Amino acid sequence: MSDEHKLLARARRFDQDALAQIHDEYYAPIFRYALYRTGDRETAEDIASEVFTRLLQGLRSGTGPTTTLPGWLFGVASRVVSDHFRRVYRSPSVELDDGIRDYDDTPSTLTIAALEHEELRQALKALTEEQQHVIALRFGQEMPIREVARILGKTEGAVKQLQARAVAALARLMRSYP
Amino acid sequence: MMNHEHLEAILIECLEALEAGATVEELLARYPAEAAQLGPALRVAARLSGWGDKTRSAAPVAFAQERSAFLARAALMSGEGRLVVRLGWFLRSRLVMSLLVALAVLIAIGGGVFGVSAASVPGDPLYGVKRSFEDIQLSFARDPVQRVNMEETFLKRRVEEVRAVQSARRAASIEFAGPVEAREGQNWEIGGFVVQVTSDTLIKDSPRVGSLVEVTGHTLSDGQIIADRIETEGVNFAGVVQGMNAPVWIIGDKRVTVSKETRITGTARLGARVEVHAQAFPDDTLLALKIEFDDSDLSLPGKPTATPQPNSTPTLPHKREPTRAPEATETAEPDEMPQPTRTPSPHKTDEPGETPEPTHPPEPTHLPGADRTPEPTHAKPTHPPEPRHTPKPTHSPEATGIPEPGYTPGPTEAPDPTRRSEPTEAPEPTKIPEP
Repeated sequence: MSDEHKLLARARRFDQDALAQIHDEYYAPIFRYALYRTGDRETAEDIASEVFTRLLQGLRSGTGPTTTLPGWLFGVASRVVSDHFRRVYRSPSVELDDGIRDYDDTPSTLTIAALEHEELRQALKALTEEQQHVIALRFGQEMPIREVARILGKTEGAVKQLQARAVAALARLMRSYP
Repeated sequence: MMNHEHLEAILIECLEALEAGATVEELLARYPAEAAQLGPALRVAARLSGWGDKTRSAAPVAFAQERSAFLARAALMSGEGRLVVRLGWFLRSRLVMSLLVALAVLIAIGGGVFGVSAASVPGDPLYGVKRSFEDIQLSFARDPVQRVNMEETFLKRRVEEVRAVQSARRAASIEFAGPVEAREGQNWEIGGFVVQVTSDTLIKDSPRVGSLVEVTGHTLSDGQIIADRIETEGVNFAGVVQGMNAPVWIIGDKRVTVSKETRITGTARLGARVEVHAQAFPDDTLLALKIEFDDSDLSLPGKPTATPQPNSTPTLPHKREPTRAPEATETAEPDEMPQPTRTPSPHKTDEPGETPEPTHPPEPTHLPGADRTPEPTHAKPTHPPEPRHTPKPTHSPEATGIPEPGYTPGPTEAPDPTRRSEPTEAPEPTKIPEP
């Protein structure tokens, strides 16, 4: 049994040391993953907290991670981020999505670089969930192709292709790519 | 027109090269025919990577809080999980339920941890069960030493519960005991917690820094602890004043500090019997809050004063039977004198087969007018000691005499619930394990 499987087995028994180890190892990466995708620290912290709450629920109900712990955690993080974006879209009081079109409303303190990042982040939202996930893992986490393939349960070639198509789609969305 | 698959293959290759350190310009120069189409994609990839550099250096601000909250939630959910399983059993059959209840009681008597509720904390549905179970355990604790140990265990549990509830940011009623470590305005540090004292907080016996106090209050969802009541851990005992060298008086076998804030009633004098309400400190010192002299002998001219007891006689506060005045026609025979037992060490209680050796009868202190041996003072409890939720943390049992079975306690013996000693109790053969 691998170390990860032993850790998971202990976590399923709600062993506090095992859970603390998991939290110490993965909370910050999950936070950074969410930050990369949302661009908002507070939201990223909320998302990371939600992911770990779901981990406990999964461990208790038996629907938690069974094979790859980071795969499960990042997968849940991806879904929580998507849920967050859906809520934002539905909520008329939140105007984040207008930012890409309404530059005139942007505070003057924002730099051009920040605007470009905001433009990029908004364009990312137009990708498929899987494409956004791969972009965040590869560029946000600098995760090697092999690790991403393990997390997604795909071949390395499939991940490379997914990444290339996501980048090409982004370029098109930003009207810089034919 | 460029083949789509061909272009995608080049893009994949360029993305790998970009990751390996190549620049966009180098790659475009490598593929001049595809540069117009590759350029925007590679620049996007470079920007994505740069954005990643920034987020990779970001650290969650509330990491420590989140960690504590996560582990507290885990502890709570762990308990709930066991509850669900057990409730399932209970719901299946009334017969099974009855058997399980009986089994649970047996386990409880045996001292096993009542796992269903053991992990519950204030605010949980089963928390009341947990506390009731502790009461049951205490009521079965015949051995005074084990009783004290049990109470200290429960005291630690209360502290852990407050910590768990606070970490989980749950609003709940709490109680715990601990020393006052600091007092800064409305913020008191008690037992490692910062406690908010408001105008509604009831504070008893003016606790000072170092005092052991019991805190009853509630937590807010932001983790704050609000005190509803802070009560100084008091010790009540009775005894004879053996020494009055300020600031330390010797009352019975205890050294008690007397300050200008100590309320003294009656006529203060050596050899008099007093009742004391004192504040306990973690180092086992006592600060007298109130010393009440028994002046009944002074109001009876010609009557002998009460014979001081060789040792302090613990009493239930305000429930002690009044000292019976000696009758002039009655002369107690020496063999009717109470036979105090030796004061054994706590470890003696682990040897129930040992019969304590009686010591010599106490030498009564002869006071003026005491021309005969008065009848011993009767001070028996009117109520059995009540088990309390909040144990006294610092007091080890004293005078835990283990009389042989069938032994009738001497007339001067009386249990004191605040001291957790039960001198009249014979040790029970049934072992009460640690909770």
